[in-house]
Amino acid sequence: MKNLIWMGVIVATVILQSTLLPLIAIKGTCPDMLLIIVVSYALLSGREKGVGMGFFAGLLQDLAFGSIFGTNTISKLATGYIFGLAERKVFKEHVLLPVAATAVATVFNGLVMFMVLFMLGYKADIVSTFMNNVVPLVGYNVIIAIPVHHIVYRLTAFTSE
Amino acid sequence: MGLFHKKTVILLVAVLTVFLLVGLQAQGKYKFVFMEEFITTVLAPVQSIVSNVGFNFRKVGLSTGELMTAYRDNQALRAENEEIRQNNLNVAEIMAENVRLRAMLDYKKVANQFDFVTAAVVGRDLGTWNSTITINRGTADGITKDMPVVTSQGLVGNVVNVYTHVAKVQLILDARSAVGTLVQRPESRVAAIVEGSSATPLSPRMVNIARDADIIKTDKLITSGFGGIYPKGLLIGEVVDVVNEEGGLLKYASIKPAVDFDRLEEVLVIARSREPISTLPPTTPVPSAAPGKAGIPSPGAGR
Repeated sequence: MKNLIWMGVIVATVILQSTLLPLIAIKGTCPDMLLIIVVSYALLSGREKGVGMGFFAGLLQDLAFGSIFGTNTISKLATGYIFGLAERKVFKEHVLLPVAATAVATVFNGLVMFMVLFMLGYKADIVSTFMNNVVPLVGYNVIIAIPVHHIVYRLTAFTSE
Repeated sequence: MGLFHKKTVILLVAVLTVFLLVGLQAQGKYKFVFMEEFITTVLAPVQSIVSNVGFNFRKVGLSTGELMTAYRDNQALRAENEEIRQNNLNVAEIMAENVRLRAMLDYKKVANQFDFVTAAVVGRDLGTWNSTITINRGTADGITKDMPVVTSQGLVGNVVNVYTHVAKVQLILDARSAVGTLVQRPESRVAAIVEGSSATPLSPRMVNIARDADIIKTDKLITSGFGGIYPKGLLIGEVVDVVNEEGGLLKYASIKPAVDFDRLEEVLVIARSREPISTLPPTTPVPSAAPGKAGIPSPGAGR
């Protein structure tokens, strides 16, 4: 039942991500809501669940969008694991938690993705790509991280009852 | 402790499997056709509904915003209208002349160059590394892989994956996309490739141009027809900046695409394109017997 609820959440987010979020894109950058959900969930539930969440969210995103397969799967899986490690070390109620975590996660996610692409042999200019994509993405993600984290917090409390 | 080990093993196996699949996929040996088709097809109807709701909301928002500027727009449009009226007179004159000259040369009426399939955009992925859209037409509507996709403004991209009722279109903004292009200005006609750039997501680049090539800001770019996917003459965009590359031999041009990729709701897939030349009658000099024979040589051309 719990798993079903979270599956539903991921599918709904993938749909939102591909339909409504591009409408509020600024200069081709739109917030990565799946990443925020993975980070919040990992922070609240630990690394084992965080890894699973990251894996499925990334896999679904890769399959649904026809992006370069594996980039999102691996980067979100790694992000879920790293932030799951921090589960017992953070104040879960603090309002700055989602903000700080999302900012770090966006950069981390971008770096892992870049590594995967580099290993696959895609050429990219890392510095300018980073400045033009990841930096604005950090700002945008941080803004929606607070409400999203709040929802995930409630939902985690609900499903762990 | 045993449990912990088991989970670690599972995690490792999962990560390795993904890496293996990624590697295979990158070499083009294996593609997740079934999984991708399944997920895309299942998601598309829901995406379609949600997109429609979103587009409608934005329409309301935009029209409210437009009320503010309606007066100024009105003045500008009036002025433009006057000008266009003038031009229209000239055009009518030229068209009449065209008809006369055509009749003199005994040309057939040129058939429409393209057959279009209209498709609605149901979803899109605005990633750093990839830009694709999902459209609600597939093999059932006659779409096949590699068909070019346009709007009335210009080139959008080409179909990369096609399923029964859904297809995925790679935009020209995607870093993996490459389009053969030509500068439209008659005295230039420089040919090069336009690639998506991951550094500037909304402006692709025309790359590998010789340092002394004749290309300036405000040059319009059209497809060159080289490479076989895109027919010749589709508008791609306008050069906004020409930058010398480090190394001293080459330069590249930043392009503002003709299509507004932030507002992409409906697109046209070019299902068939014909060379305009092939619809002309054979140029055999038949001065007297022309009326009787005109329809015979190319029966399909008059449609």
